[in-house]
Amino acid sequence: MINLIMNLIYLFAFIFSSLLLASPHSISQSYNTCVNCHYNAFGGGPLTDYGRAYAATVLGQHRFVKSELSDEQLALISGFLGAKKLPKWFRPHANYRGIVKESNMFKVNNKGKFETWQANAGLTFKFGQYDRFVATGTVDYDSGSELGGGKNRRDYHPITSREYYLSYRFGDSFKMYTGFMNKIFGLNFFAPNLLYRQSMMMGLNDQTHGMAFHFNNSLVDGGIHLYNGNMNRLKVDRQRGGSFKFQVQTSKNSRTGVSMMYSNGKKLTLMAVNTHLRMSFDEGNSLLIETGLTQKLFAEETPLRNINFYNTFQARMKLSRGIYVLTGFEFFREDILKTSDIQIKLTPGLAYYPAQRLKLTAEVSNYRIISNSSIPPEQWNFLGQLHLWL
Amino acid sequence: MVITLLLLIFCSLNLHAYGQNQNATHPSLIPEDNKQITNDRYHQALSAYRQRSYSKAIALLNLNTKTTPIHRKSWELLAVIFALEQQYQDAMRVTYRLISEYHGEAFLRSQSIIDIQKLIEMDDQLVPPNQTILTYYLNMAEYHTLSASRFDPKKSSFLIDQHLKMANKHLYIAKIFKLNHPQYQQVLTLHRRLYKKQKMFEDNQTHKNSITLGGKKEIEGDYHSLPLNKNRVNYFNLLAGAIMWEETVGLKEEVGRSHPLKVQALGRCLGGGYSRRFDTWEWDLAGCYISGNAKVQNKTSDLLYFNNETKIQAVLFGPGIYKRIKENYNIGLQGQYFFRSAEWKEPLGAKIENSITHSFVGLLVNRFEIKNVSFSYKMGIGNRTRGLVWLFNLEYRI
Repeated sequence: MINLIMNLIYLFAFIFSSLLLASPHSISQSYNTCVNCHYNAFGGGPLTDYGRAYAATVLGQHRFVKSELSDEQLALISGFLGAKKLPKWFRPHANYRGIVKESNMFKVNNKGKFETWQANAGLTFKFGQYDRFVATGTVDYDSGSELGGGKNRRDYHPITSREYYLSYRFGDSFKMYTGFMNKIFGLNFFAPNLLYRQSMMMGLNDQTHGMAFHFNNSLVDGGIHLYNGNMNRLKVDRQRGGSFKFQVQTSKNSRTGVSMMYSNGKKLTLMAVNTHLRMSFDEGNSLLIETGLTQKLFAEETPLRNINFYNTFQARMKLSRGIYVLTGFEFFREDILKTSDIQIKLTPGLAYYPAQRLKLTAEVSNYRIISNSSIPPEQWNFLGQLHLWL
Repeated sequence: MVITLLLLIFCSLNLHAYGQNQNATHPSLIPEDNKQITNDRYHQALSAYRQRSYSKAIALLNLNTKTTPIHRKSWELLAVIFALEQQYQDAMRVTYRLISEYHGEAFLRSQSIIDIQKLIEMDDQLVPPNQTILTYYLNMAEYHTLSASRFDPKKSSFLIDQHLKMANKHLYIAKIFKLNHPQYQQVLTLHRRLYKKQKMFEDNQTHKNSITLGGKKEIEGDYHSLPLNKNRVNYFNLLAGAIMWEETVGLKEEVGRSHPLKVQALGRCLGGGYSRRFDTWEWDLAGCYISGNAKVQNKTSDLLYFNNETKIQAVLFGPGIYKRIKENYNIGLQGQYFFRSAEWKEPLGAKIENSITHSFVGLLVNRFEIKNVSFSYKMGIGNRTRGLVWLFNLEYRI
């Protein structure tokens, strides 16, 4: 029965992919890759000038700025120091994400908890024609959030870095990166609280040292990441391996992709495969679907193997400029090889961009566990987020 | 397929007959009876367009493109459909025909058009198909700006607005690729110039309307008769999906004591319905048969009971109303009658109540559509359920 839900969602993804593949007009009219807005073509990290302008003119509301300011003028003041021009080769950035969460929000005497997920600042240097060469580095404050492994982990230090790399672009389509960054796998959006990401060690502090290659044109986008683990950690805690992600334009409004990952460490061997679908429905509306399997082999005295299965979709619907309705769904099965609990989360929410550089989200998730031995009570959890960037 | 073929044959025969008539009369005029045929064909195409049968509409409109003088509405609709079908080269071809027919030299002399062409030619990074798309929409915007002042200002003002919106959309695409491009600012300046023209036209129009009684109503009437704004269609649909809900039932011992039990049910649903779609609204009447499995457990600690193999059957039936927020996205509300029957596994000496229930469920619907297939997820509450009812549906429009 449980599989029915998954089968339907799979069927949905399959039907839609095949319908879209049938379209001969694979024309990109939207964002196909992260490279327009981020220096890292795989997404995340500091924004390009265009990314800043986009956030100011497309995401941010116009309500709290002078009405006579046009979008072009808003774009011009979206730099780190507003309208003040910085040298072309130098771009600072800063970023803050604080969250308020409350589990079982309808329980009496339940108090919310505040956490800092991200607080960082950094510099980007770029040279050459069309910023061919980029060097970027970020200094982060690690609040010791549970999602990042807490304060008790061996490599914990409040001042750390989650991203630094050098990149070079060959021609128009190839980019090479070397440094410390997030693993390339699946859809890259900031959601460290997703169950499957925690399970496959793609949380807040799971960046790795390595080399990555990115390729994109109007039809395909993808890359390979070869990594040597996080060199700041003890050898015993490092995961070495590689991953790749490849996505193809399946219609003017959609991209379908696959990702694979293999990593090996003293404690664990991890293999993962994932397929995803990105669709847009008119300007501002999108639906992301991701499904995959993760096999984990724990190198203990009695080797332990389990295979997670997950499926998630994230829908974002634009109500008006700066206001979006969000819906997230996640299905996570701890082990498909044996009878195990299933965790399901349905998360409606609202995102509000009152002005450029500011985003507020409020999400309420209905969380259920389907168990074969009991009926755990459903939970209503709240997650509020404040995101500021300069 | 067969119907389309027959239609095409029918239209070909009409065209043949029309060609004969045309030769017999003055070549620059459509005889009255052929005018009627052209209009009929246009309306057939319009209705095909409203039902999203674009290929059928194109086939019919292609026949209308042979008339002299040109049937302007047919050409405009053809451009709209080609653009919807992303056949931008064809859309451009149609646009140029409209331009040369109606604006000729005025259009070519237009500084905006000269600028568009110059910028696009100079911009070696603006590769096809973006180049064609941008050219198409900017040209169409200008075409309607000129049409507004020349032909039928009341009707065209809305088209100007439509096409400027499209031009604006595609300027955003230019933004995406070209923010740092040296000509980007020029493209924006050009766009502002086009927009300014429209504003001037609108101001002029407002002035006229204040003098002409009923002018606004007339414009609204014209607006609703425009093909861009009409899309009413009825259809039947099939649906398949999954549902999850929880409820509380009572277990009554023979000795008279009662204990609450919680039920967690999961089921698959199969069904269908009838929908009627208007411009931006839609209502439907749909139902589905649910077959599934439930887990039942004691709610309080004074009893120990757990069963995870209770068969459940249910029916969900009722109306829904939806608002189209975007072209392929709707939100809606459904009020559903919920019949549920369960085969409880009763412990000895006790009876589980509510094996059959009748209740009501209100659902909030989010629906995404691609062609005839749609995916929806629904959340709601019922007067007998506890917590949230979840539903995921795949629908197919027949």
